Order: sequence, then C-alpha cells, then structure tokens
Amino acid sequence: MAPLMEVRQLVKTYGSTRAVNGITFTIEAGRCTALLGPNGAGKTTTLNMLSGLLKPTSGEIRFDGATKGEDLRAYIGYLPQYTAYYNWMTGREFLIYVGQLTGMDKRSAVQRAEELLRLVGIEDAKHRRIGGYSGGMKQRLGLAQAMMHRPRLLVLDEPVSALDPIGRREVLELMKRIRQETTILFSTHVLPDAEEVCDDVLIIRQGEIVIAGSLDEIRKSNQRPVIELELEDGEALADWLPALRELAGSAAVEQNGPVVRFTVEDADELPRIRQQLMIRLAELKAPLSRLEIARTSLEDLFMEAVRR
Amino acid sequence: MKQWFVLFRKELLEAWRNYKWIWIPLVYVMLGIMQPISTYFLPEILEAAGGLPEGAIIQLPEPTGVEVMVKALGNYQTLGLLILVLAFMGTISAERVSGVAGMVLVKPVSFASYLTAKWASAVCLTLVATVLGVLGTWYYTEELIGPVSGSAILAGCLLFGLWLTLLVTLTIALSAMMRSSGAIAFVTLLVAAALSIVSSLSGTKLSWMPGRLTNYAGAAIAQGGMPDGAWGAVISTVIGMILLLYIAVSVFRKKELVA
Amino acid sequence: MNELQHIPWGIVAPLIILQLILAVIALIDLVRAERTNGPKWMWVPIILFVSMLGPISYFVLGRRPF
Ligand SMILES: Nc1ncnc2c1ncn2[C@@H]1O[C@H](COP(=O)(O)OP(=O)(O)OP(=O)(O)O)[C@@H](O)[C@H]1O
Ligand SMILES: [Mg+2]
Repeated sequence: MAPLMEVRQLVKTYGSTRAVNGITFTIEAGRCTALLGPNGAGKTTTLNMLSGLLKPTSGEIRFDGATKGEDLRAYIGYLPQYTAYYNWMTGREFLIYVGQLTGMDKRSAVQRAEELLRLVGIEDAKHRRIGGYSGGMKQRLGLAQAMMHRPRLLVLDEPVSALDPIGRREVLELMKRIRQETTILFSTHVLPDAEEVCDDVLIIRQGEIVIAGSLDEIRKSNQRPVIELELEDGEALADWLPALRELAGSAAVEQNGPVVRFTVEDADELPRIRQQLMIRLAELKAPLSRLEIARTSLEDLFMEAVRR
Repeated sequence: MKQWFVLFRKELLEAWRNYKWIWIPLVYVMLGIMQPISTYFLPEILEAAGGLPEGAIIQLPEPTGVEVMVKALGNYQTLGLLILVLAFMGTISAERVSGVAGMVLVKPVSFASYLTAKWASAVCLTLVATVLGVLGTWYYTEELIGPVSGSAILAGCLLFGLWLTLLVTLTIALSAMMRSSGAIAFVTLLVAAALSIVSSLSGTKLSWMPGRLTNYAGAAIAQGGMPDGAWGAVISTVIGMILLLYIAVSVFRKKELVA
Repeated sequence: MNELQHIPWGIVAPLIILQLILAVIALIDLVRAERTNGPKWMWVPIILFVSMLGPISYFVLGRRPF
C-alpha cells in the first residue's frame, strides 16, 4: 500500500538558519505518528509546511491520491500550536463556519459541529463567545475545527502542551479514540505522550530527523543491557572505580553518587562483564546494596539522541 | 461561489456584531445633517457669540441648497474618509497578526475569495453610509435652506460614493500587503491627498483622474446631472480598483501566513 | 427658561437622538468588551462628553478587533 504522505528533503531556511534541514519521512495510513523533539527543533516549521501555511524553501510533499501541485489543504486538518479565533463568534458558530468553508452544506455542517462539540466535551459552552473560553476549551475547539471536514490526515502541533494534567489526560484519551478513524501526525516534546498514543515516532533535532520508525522496532533494536550497582558507601566507590572500569571493556561507565551504571553496547558481552564484575566485587569485599541488570529505555535513547 | 458567500456573510455578521453597521451610517448622517442645521442657525449663533456692536446689521449671503450640499460632501471628504480608513485598516492585517487568518486559510479557502469578500462587505457598508448620509442631508437642506433636484443628488452621491469606494479598496489592499495598521492608514490618506492635489493642480488637463471625482460630485449637484468628463474619471477609478484588488491578491498569496 | 421655547426642537431633536444612540451603543460595546486599548473606565467620560468624536474614537481606537 502506498503511504498516505511522503515528504522528501524538506528544507526551510530563515536567512542563514536552517530551521528544517532536509527531512524525509513517510506517514502510513491508519497509523499515528509522533514528531518528537525539544524546543526549537523545527517541529512547528515542519508542520506548517505540511499544512500549507509556510512555503518550503525546497523539497517535496506528496499526498496519496493528490496530483502534483494540488492544493493539499482539503486533505489535511490542522491544529496550530497557538490557536486564534474570532472571539465574537460562539464555538458552535465557528465550527459551522469552518464546515461551510470546506464545502459542507449548512445542515451537514450543523450536524457535524454538534457531533464534534460532544466528542471534545465543550457542548455546554457551545453558545458562548469564544472570547470567554479558557485555554483548554480553545484547544478542544481547535481539535474539533481540525476534524470538521473529515480530513484524511490530522496534523496537531503540541495538542497537549498547554493543558493542565487533567486536560492533558483527557485530550490524550480523545486522541486515542480519534486515531481509530483518522491518521494522526502530532508533535510533542515529551516521550510519554508519544508512547501513549502512537505507533511511530520521528525524533527531530536541529531540523534533522535523528531516529525514525515504529516504537516497537526502535525499542527492540536500540535496547541495550544496563548493569547498575549501588554501594552502601558512596565515598569508598572512588577507590574502586578504576578497577571496575578496567573490566568494563566496551561498556560505558557512569557514576552518580553511590550508583555505577554500565551501559553495555554489545549485548553478547553482558555475560562476561557480569561474571567478572561479580568476582571482582567479591574480591574487593565491596559493601554492595544493589545489583541490577536492566535495559535502556526509550527515554534514555531519546535523551541521548536529543542531547548529542 | 458558495464559499465566497459564506465568507461574505461572515463579514457582514462581524460588522453587525461589532456595531459598524450602526455607528458608521449614524456618523455619516450626523456629519451630513450638521451642515444644513448649522447653516440655518448661523445668524443666531453669531448673535449669541456676542461681539456684534449694538445695532450693527451683518449681511450674510443667503446660502443656497446646492452650496450646503456641497459643503456636506466636504465633511465626508475629511472626517468621513478618516473614519472609514481607521475602521477598515485592520481588515486583513489584524487577522494576520492575531493568527486567525492562518486558522481560516489552512482550510481550502481561495485567497481571492477571502480578500474580495472582505472588500465587498466594506464597500457595502461605505455605500450604505454615504447614501443614508446624503439622503438625510438632502431632507434637511430642503426643509431649512432651499431645494436641490433629485437627479443632482443621485449623480453627486454616485460620484462621491465611488471616490470613497476607491479609498476603501486601497485601505483593504494595503491591509493585505502590510502588517502595521498605522502605516496602512497613513499611506491611504497620503494617496488620497496626493490624488486630490494632483487633480486640482492639473487644471483642465487630466480630467479622467480619480482625484477629480470629488469635484465632479460637487459639479453634479450644482448642475443637476453628470458633468462633462465625469465618465472618464469613473472608468479610470473602476480600472484602478480592479488593479488594486488584483495586486493585493497576488501579493497576499505569496505571503507567509505565520510569523 | 424662556429661551428653551425658542429652540426649534423639531430640527435639533433628531441630531440629539442620533448622538444619544451613538453614545449608548459605544457604552454597550465598552461594557461587553473583555479588553480595550487603554483603561476601560477612561473611555466612559470620553464617550459621554466628547460630542460625536468621543464614541467614534472609542470605536476606531479603543476597541480591539477580536
Ligand atoms: N519566522 C522565523 N524567523 C526566523 N527563525 C525562525 C522563524 N520561525 C522559526 N525559526 C527558527 O526555526 C527553528 C525551529 O523553530 P520551530 O518553531 O519549528 O521549533 P519547534 O520545534 O516547534 O519548537 P517548540 O517546541 O518551541 O514549539 C528555531 O530555531 C527558530 O528560532
Ligand atoms: Mg513549535
């Protein structure tokens, strides 16, 4: 099956800064993809180009079923990072207006608006002026207006960043429901959001994609064993550290207070390192309080990818 | 076309909800009828102001209905124009600055429709205000000063309305191309002044200049119908407006909608 | 008081009524507005006491577009 959207070598420059520096990725129909990156990574710039609000400096965006150069706006529903509305309209009026703009007749626009107001949970406020909505309500209205014309791809720029913990929870649940019907691409700067709703991630840093793929695959292929040991007495650790480093081989050693962490790059080495470590600890009569074999989490991977 | 009407209806609704449909016509009526009323009361006003020596009789020239109507148009040329420019300068630029233009234009909305719907709504409002203002002024002038023919009023109103429409078009075109409301208003008023000055300096030449429309409007009221050469100015103004809208749409389309 | 009778109310009254409508509408809008340019209370005397220009300047300068 052809991917829903294909992006090739997309570039956006502002003067000499390359906000987006040649990114390439595909979005599969029916899946949820998270665009994950720290502040200033280029998430908003990328999504603005996909939605047609910004013109790419170079690169190509293809959409399944669209001819080359066709206006993609009809296929995409977009929730910008910062929403803005006609404050004099009511929430319901705005949705109907948006629906009619996308070619719906009045009756089906009204019907769809009511349906979405209920779905996003602002039905009680639908006859109030948007000027009086709270930030969370505006965010929900934003979600509803993006879905009004039943777009084939829903693009959401940081849909939960501005929300309180409860609102965040609710919108994430909402997204889980929406993803049953619509392909979603959304940006976030925290991994748990991505892990919670998504199948795929694109990790972006300084305008470039550093990791891309399905969460499961990334988890599997990037998992490395970690040996963590903790001593009762952190002071004494300094004396033993050189000895421990010696036997670590290719593993990276980090010390943090009384805890030492061995990240084993080559999983085949784990048995050897573990065995030698235990022998050595016994020889040294180290006051061990904890020894644990774990695996690097996606969070470690993300932090590493983003920090580098 | 259906989409255009959706946009247009929203503009009318917005102008209604923010009271533009009430206060702009109201101000035009007041600006207009103040002229015959103050002319009517001028002798009393002078008397009340004192200053006249005992027994002095001042001979004020008896104003005619036509003179009063032309003066009323003069009010629209200054304060009336300023009000329109200030009322419409943010039509597009304010939507861009607030980000709501982006919210609308990520939908499959044509840039030309977005812009011309706003233009059409502003022009409707301008013309309605002008017509109501002129009608009110006409009524008062006939009651208090003297008669003016209906065909004179019609021709004068059309010509003057067209002049205001041109400047409203310019305001909205600039609003699509620039961000600062102040700059938009400043440039529009500058162009209006330049057009008027050029046409008054050029004597009998350049009779087709849009800047002549105000003179033609006055002349139309004085002679009771379309003056010679007015059609040239009408045609050049209409062409000018089409050109302005075309340029505005082309520039607007190339603009990035987010900061 | 005698003077009041000399004023031809039939002529002046419409102008006063229009002025009143203008001021009332500006006040209604001011009350309903969430925010204005400049402090809200400042606009009340401007609308009420600065003839026709008061309400006009509120509409074009005081109110925020959205
Ligand atoms: N209009 C602009 N002019 C100049 N530089 C810009 C402009 N817009 C964005 N940038 C730069 O492009 C880079 C990417 O910005 P972008 O807004 O896409 O980041 P982001 O990933 O969305 O960040 P955040 O998480 O803060 O929303 C930043 O370094 C920013 O400074
Ligand atoms: Mg962003």
